[in-house]
Amino acid sequence: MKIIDCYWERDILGCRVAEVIIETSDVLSEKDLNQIEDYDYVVVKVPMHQVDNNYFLSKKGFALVEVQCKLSKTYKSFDFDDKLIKYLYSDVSFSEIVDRNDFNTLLESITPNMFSTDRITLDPVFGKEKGCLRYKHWMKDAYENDQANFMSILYKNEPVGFSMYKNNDGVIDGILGGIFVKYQSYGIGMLTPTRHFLNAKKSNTPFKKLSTSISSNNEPVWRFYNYLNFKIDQLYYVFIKHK
Amino acid sequence: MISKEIFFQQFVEAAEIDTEIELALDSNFRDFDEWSSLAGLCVMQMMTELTGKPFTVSDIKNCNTLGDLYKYIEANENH
Repeated sequence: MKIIDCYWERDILGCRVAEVIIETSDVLSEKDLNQIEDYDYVVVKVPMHQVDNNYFLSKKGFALVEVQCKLSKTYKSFDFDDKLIKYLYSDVSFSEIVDRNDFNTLLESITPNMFSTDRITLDPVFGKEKGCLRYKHWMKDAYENDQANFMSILYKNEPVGFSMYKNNDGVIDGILGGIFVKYQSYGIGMLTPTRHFLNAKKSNTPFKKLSTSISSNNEPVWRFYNYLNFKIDQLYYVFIKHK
Repeated sequence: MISKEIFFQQFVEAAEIDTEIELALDSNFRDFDEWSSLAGLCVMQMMTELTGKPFTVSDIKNCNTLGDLYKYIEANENH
């Protein structure tokens, strides 16, 4: 079991936050909860097949707020001949964001309704403004510390979304991405799960595999991932508790 | 010009709408329970196939009812 003091969340969320990652052999006990009793907001991630831990947390007043699904798909298995992919392909393009001004323009495009299904936005204690600020802070931190790459998604030459990702020796970690609010609910959400595949095809830079994580609360997005036959690698039950 | 009935059938298949629902030209397609971004993309692709002309995000933004989509097909159908 790992307990992480999320000190970076304090300024954004205005409280002390701890994240507890349960490992496969862990069995939660009162002693474990004592270690986190001073935190204002605790997040516990329980991997699947640990139902006893789920029941224990529920009895201790934790609320199940989402299931985090780790998904992946190999480049080779991606169907570029799918009619929906072919429909989008010719109108989409991508560009890497390197320049500080371009990055700042991207940050300005991130608005409170863009990410509407993360656990912070959905939590009545925090809400969408804090949810948005938190993502922007994360992105800024990653950019300034060179911890991730950023890519702009363009549809008919207009920026419609972005991707924050890492490429670890051919395995792309799709950390964060999305479509700007103005373009949501019109079908181009498909560019969220397909962005790296389409970009790689266009630039002839195939990779091994894309891995990413989505929330069970993000129904529009998991419909796309399901359609594209992404593999489910792991599921985590995410519990939270406010002091 | 495809008939209204064939158009409804194609729409139901593309968007995976419950076939028990009564469709009408004044039905607002965004009100269907099954409507989603994926359904929207499937319908855009269907409209492109039916007309032979690209039907894009701007076009679907201007449509709210099945009647709007059907009128678009009337105006743009590939002969």
